[in-house]
Amino acid sequence: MNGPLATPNKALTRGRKNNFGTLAGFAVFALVFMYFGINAPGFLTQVNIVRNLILPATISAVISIGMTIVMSGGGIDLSVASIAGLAGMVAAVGSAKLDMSIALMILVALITGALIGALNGFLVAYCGISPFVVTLSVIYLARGLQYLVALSTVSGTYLMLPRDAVALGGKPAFFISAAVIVAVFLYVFLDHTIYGRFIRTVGSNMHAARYSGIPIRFYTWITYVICGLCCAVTGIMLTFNEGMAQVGSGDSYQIDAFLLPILGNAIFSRFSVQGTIFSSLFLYMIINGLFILGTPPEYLRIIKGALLITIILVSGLQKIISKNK
Amino acid sequence: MKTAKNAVRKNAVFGILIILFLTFAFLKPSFLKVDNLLNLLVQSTILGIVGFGLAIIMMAGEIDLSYAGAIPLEGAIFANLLQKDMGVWPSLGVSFLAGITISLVISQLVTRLKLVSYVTTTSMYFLLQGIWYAYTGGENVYFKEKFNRDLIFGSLAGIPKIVIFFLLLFVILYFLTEHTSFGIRLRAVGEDPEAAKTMGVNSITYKTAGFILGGFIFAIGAFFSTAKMSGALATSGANMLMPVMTVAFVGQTFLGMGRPNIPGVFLAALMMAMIDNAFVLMNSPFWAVPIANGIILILAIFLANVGKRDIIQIKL
Repeated sequence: MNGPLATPNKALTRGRKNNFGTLAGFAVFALVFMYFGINAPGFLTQVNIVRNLILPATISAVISIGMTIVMSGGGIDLSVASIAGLAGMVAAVGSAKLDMSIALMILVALITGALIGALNGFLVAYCGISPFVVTLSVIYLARGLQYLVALSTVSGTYLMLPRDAVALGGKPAFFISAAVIVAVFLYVFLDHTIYGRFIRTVGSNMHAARYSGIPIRFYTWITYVICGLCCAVTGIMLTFNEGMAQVGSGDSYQIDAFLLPILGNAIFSRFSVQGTIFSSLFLYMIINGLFILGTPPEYLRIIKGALLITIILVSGLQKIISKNK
Repeated sequence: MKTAKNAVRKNAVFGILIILFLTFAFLKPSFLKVDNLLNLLVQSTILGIVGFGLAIIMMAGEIDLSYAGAIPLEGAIFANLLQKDMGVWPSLGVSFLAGITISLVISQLVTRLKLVSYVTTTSMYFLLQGIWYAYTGGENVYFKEKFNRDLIFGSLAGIPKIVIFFLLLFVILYFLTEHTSFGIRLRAVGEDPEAAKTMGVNSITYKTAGFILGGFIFAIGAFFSTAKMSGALATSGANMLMPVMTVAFVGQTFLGMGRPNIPGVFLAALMMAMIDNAFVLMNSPFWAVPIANGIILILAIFLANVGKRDIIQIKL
């Protein structure tokens, strides 16, 4: 890890020093947690915390971590949900048609995710097309492939999983360990290796990165591949959780994947794995707590929207204040 | 070599459209019937109109994804007031007012408080979805026999009125954005706010104007989609989120412009409607439509960007 870029760069580590946004984020988190702990009956039980709060949070965290990597490299990937759905579907079809073992299913899903990610990355990094345009087009492709793969095996849009996979999907430990592995690996990758720093440099100043001799095309490309792999993990988690692969099953995580990294960026003032995990726990804690308190779903949505705007407003004010200093 | 690539970039989309058209006509002669071609145009209208709105906001350098929440809400307001015998024009006026208010709020949040428009408008989408639930109680609002469908779906000299309106809107917006000082200033603000400021163009005014014009066009889209379904449906917004983004962003790369533009959106909407229409005519399995859409879109954006090597980044 030697070389000029290995020494901490001020611009890249700015978020770590006297950042009251992070403190405020944790304080609000603790306050809300205490509020629900006191007022919402059953919020603090282990079953609720693990099954209703952490489990959905891990699924959305993994897909959002992939997006975090892409966003730190200056891109965006709107096709994450479709890739996750496709990877899950391919794994399910593999087990139904070829009687694959669970390990093989996961491998096939990962390869699918990486391939679609590589296609995204190729079009963005080597053909110079806007990532929005590329990934929006790939959504259609991935969605169509989901139908195609599903219909090649059954005459419906869903596919049941074998019993051992369903049993694994019933264990929260599986989801938590999968999320922890992805998170730790990518945290170290993004924040503590030279490659992660290259990605951040490409994201923050592409021209400077080019003149420092960083192969910017490759590092842009690799972010999409990593994102595809994360989506594949999410796809596996989703299908195992539901016990079946369904066309369009990942779609509800699309907005999460888009928002959570940006929320983490607002709170931690840079794109980071830990920020994404924090915001996913935060979001699902609020949804879960309000649900226990008996808030009708329509107000849940209003509160979710208003809360997001507030957080962004606060971080915006923070930026204005720190600029005036 | 460079000019050849430029020519490919500019004309690729026309080439693809013509090839698609000829292929479909060859495979399914009934594709060429006048009724079907008019039907195709009708199919492309709502997507195209909402895409125009998004493209105008994108020209101002911002984005607005709140249409996915605003369209069902505006539709529900319109349908609800119509149920209560308010008359078509007053209810339409109220729903337009709602749309403009939403856009005004968003524009102030984005321009004065300097919030990132992607996140702000996505949050706004949730917020509006919630308001929609609270307003309608989570149910579709239908108006039966309260609304004369001929008002927009009737035909004038053999052409459906909605298509005439769509083409008219296309021409007006094209001239507004490409050939008036307002349009040029709007794009200047979007492309380089600092330079625009130096030239004495107030970016806040123009961005606000862009948002409000976009919101107005979204309201038109909401009216048409409500009228088409004879009621406001819960799914009318969420189903539109991705296709509209696709036509606006893919349209950006068409014609070799590399910036949001109205003709690109028009062509993209036409292309998607054509694929949809032809595949339904050919009785093809339903997975074929998204795959064909994906492959043709990827091909089109690839050809429309031939020779461009600079990586485009998104700053959030």
